Amino acid sequence: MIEKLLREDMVILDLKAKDKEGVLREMISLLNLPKDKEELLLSSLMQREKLGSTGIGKGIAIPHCRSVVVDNITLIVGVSKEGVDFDALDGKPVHLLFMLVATPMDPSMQYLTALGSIARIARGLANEESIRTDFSSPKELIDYLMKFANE
Amino acid sequence: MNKEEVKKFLEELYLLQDLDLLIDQIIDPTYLQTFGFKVSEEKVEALKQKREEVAEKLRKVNPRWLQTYERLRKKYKRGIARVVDGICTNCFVHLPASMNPYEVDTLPTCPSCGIILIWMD
Repeated sequence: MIEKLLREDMVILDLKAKDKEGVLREMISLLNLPKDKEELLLSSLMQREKLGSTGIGKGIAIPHCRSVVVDNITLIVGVSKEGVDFDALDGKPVHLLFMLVATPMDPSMQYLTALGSIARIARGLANEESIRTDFSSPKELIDYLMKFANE
Repeated sequence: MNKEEVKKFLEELYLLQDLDLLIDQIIDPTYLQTFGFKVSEEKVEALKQKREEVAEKLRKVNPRWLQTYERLRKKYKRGIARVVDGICTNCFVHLPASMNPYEVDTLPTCPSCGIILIWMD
């Protein structure tokens, strides 16, 4: 299912924000939600971050939450060339972010399945010497990630 | 409650549901296994306390409506569902075209499954 979630219009190749909240806000903006719903979603994501950063180390973060403001399960991938301070477990800046937002309930467990697939991609990326940030197109990034998903 | 107050109540209720979903998630063993994340008991308790604060605020405004939400949570694991293209996303039944998002003194619920409904632009 991960190949269906990785969409070219849900990719930001050069995140401008430099802090956690800013970067989450920048990624949420792709969903084109009304301002008040955007704030609700941001507060759910930040609430999750307060429980422990989803910056899992090696430059990767997986912010995620369920929220009533979204229609479908959606994955947004963002690349930060300079890196973002995400309070990651290893204290290093985050360069690759996978934001997963899902509806409150999904009977087919898509949310957990997607989180599992992202975790698999992250494990593959973590084994690389360094995380790539030089993608020239969303397709190139998606192809790169799919390589790890299929391993 | 006037229409604005109903709208405000429902918006606070989304926040409560998001907190409830987060609590459900962090205590779900499958979730914990997926990531190997461990959330400390202390943080879970703090989150539950925040949830109670939001619930208390809503209880003061309309205890009956909050009770409806809590009852639905027990039944469906959520209390609110969105209306998309005139369909309740909890039971997938077409809603009567005459239903309006906010009406005076009315908690909008699905005539079929009873879940609290919200419309979003």
